[in-house]
Amino acid sequence: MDDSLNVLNEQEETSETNTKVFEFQPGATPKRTYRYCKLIDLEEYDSNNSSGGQN
Amino acid sequence: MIPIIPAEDKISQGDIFHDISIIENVEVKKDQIKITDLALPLAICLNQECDLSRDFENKNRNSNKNTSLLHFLILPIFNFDLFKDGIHWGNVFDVGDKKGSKDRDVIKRNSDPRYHYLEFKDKSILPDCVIDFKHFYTVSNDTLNKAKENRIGRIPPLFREAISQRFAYYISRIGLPV
Repeated sequence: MDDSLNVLNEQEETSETNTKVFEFQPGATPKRTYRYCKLIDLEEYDSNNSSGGQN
Repeated sequence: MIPIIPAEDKISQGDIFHDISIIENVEVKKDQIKITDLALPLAICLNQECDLSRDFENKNRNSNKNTSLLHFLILPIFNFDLFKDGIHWGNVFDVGDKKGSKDRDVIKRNSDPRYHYLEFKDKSILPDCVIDFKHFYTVSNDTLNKAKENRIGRIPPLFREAISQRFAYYISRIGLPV
């Protein structure tokens, strides 16, 4: 009984989604930022992270 | 005046997002990757609605048909108050031209093909804004779908088609030699 009630409730959901409360910032402008990542050797990564096999 | 209506579950043409970050550039040097991000305070999705609907259907059916979209098209939206003073790009670009009253009037009438003026009905949500059709980006399907809760709302039909149509006209303009 409880399960069917849950199904009914899901069907009654509207297609509109709630959006977060938004406060417009008048002075906001696009901003450029930078991120740096290190390239790693894939073979080295795989060998360091592979699970142990049968000995 | 343009109303802002609630967003739907699927991403629609005319959805307005806040705080969307796109990857401007990726540079690989030796063992280091430098990623340049561009954070946009406001952006509008301008894919064709039928394409967005089909992508959404495919997603719901777990289908990988080629009618799915890998990327969405977004354009930044600028506060008109900053735009008219040429400072709407912050430190991304040098200060642009100030718009005199005649230029502002032309833009507000949507008589300048490069810009689309957005006079919103509810100024408590968004003030008057402008889209510059010269600048458009794509963002991955995954990224924009994860940012659905960043939607302020959407521009309704007819108003959004007007933007889309003017954008298409602008990017298909032909500059003939003098």
